[in-house]
Amino acid sequence: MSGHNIKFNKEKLDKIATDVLKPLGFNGAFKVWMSFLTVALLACLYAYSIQYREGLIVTGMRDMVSWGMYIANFVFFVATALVGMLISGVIGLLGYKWIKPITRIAEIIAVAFAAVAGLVIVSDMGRPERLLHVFMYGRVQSPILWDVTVVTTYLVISTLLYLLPLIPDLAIARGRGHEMPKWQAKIYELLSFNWTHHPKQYQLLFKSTRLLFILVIPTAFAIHTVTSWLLAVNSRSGWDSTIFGPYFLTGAFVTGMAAVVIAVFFFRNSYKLREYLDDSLFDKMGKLLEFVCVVYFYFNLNEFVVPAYKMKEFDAVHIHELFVGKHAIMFWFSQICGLIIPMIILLWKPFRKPVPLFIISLFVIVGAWLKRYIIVIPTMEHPFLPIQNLPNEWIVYSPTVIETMVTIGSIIMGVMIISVLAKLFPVIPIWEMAEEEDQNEDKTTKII
Amino acid sequence: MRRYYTTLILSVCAVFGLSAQSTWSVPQDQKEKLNTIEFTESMEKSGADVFAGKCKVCHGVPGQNNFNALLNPSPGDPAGDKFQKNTDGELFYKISEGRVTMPSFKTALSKDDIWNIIAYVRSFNPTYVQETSEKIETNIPEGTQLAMDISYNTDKDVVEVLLTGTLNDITNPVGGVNIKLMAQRYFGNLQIDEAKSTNKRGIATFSWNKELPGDSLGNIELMASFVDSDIYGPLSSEKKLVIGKPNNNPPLNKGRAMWNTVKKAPLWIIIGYTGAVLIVWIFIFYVLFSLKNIFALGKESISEDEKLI
Repeated sequence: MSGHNIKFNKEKLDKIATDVLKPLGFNGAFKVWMSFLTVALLACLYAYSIQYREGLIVTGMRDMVSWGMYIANFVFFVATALVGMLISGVIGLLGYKWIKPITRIAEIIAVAFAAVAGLVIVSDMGRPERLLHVFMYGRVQSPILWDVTVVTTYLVISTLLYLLPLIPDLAIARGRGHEMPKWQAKIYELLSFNWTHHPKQYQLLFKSTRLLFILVIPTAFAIHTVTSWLLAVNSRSGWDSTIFGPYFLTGAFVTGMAAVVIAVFFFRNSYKLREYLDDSLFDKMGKLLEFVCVVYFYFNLNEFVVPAYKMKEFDAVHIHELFVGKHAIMFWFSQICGLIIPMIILLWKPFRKPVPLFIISLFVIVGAWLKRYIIVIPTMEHPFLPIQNLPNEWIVYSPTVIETMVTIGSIIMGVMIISVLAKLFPVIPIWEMAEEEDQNEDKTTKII
Repeated sequence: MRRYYTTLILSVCAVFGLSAQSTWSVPQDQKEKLNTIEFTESMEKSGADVFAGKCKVCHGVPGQNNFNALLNPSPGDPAGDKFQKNTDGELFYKISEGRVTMPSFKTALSKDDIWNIIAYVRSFNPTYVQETSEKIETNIPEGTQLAMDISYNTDKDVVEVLLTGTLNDITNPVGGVNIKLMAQRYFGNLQIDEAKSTNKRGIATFSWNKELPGDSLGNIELMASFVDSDIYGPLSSEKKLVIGKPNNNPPLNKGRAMWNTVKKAPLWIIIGYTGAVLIVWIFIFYVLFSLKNIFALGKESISEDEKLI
């Protein structure tokens, strides 16, 4: 794409710019929504202040179960953040054009969730003021250092992938004299980098984004593979698996796709962008969700059927807990309602219409969150060491109110970042949508 | 209905399982076991030392009730009634054998150490009156000073323990006494061969396996003692002999390894990690540099036919 000359359809550009810029700006409804989120977040921050003062003893975590809801939530956030790579990187590089209207929404989700994922990890620290020590005294042999590195790198690349394609849009908004407060105009001026729609500027932009698209794929693979290694490098039942990397990665695609569908559905309705986020787009997103669900189902099959067939001593205890034990309801809900049923019904076109797809995605995302809980906690409850006669609350983990509130707080933070970005900048890339399709381009060569 | 029976059976099993765990049955003959001599202050003192090293971590300081209450079954305070109700023999058995979270000290402590601990624990009980067992008659004349010496016989590759007795300045070998030989380990001792009886020349012979690992020079700390220390007394002899296999393995933290400090991390992981980080960040900085160029291009004028918007 870096070689081709860009041409704009001026009328189309006019219309798109008007439609996309109209819902922007911090209006009354937005202020009410943000005040609500702020109050809720303050309550959650109060809960965190208690944890900061008293230490992790206020959580349900003890010696045996030392990873609880926070780590499960962290895995969920990292997973969801990966969608930026799936949409822009993989599908974009494959040459599919239908993703154009949702690329920016996917990047917003990637930026918001990757940023909050870092904070979630800090909430799991007993001494958060020593965060810098991770970098100063980190061991290069430890997956924890690798994880810190890739999360940071992925956040930077995602932010660039969000900001770079935004530059021409900000220039368009400025050029059209779109009304906005002074401070917002200042941000637009700053972030549009002196953009004059110079063809050479477009060439540079194409080159840079293309480089980032390629770069984001290995980085995103690394971020979630390393996250899975945090668990898989232990020889504990349920984690001791060679397919944990791809298992996590495919699971991340499912979670991320569901998050994108939910966000797109929301913007389609409240931003009145039905014309661009249309039924055929939902049909395509539904198909993509179906595809990643099938792949994820395949990995689940391997992950659970193979150990369940062998029933090695400790694995048997673990699998029993999941299949019929105390985690059974959560396990089967996430597997059946969050994966198998969506995978089956998405085969029919009516279920890929906006409303049904939105509802299915809600189930998928809730199931995905519970699945992360299922991956982290049951294994922690069954260590190999013959630990006997411990008090019950050391062995059985149940999250406390404070822990739950801090976790909810992280979700609120993610929603807040998305809300602000979506009201500050256009959610649909105006210039990319207005780009004249190159008639000479060979339609049959899709791959890169 | 069947389900209720199953539940019932399971709960009965559970109750029995619990009660089985809560009793600590000591065989009758062990219960009646007594020390042959009366506890002395020096025994209490050395008992206190051993207690501080091995018992305090769970049982706390006797009389202060500061034991680790989170353990199940609760270790309890040795000065308390529950402990003091035990006979000396019961205490001896329980310390030796252990149960659940209480480890067995059979091989970790000598019989004398265990008796010293009991002497120390009893010192917290003002109502305790010690009973001693009667001294058993032996074929060794009263007043004989016994001595043991450990040596290695290089011709036969065996360890020999010579037992001698001195009475009225005359030293003679003592035969017919059972002796056991132990080698020191990190925790507890390893018994070498079986317990052997001294022959007419006063020598007990233990077969020796040269493969037994010693320290870096092949040193092995050996200890000989009587099997029936109740009869012959607490005498034991210790000796360090260069008869083990030298253990010259380098320390685990010497070379580059995954478990070592970051400076001694394996080269491949240092190169892999820093290489990957560098490559990715070089490209990120390249993109940031492009942004600067985009900014600069904004100052260039655009000809009319090049204009896009």
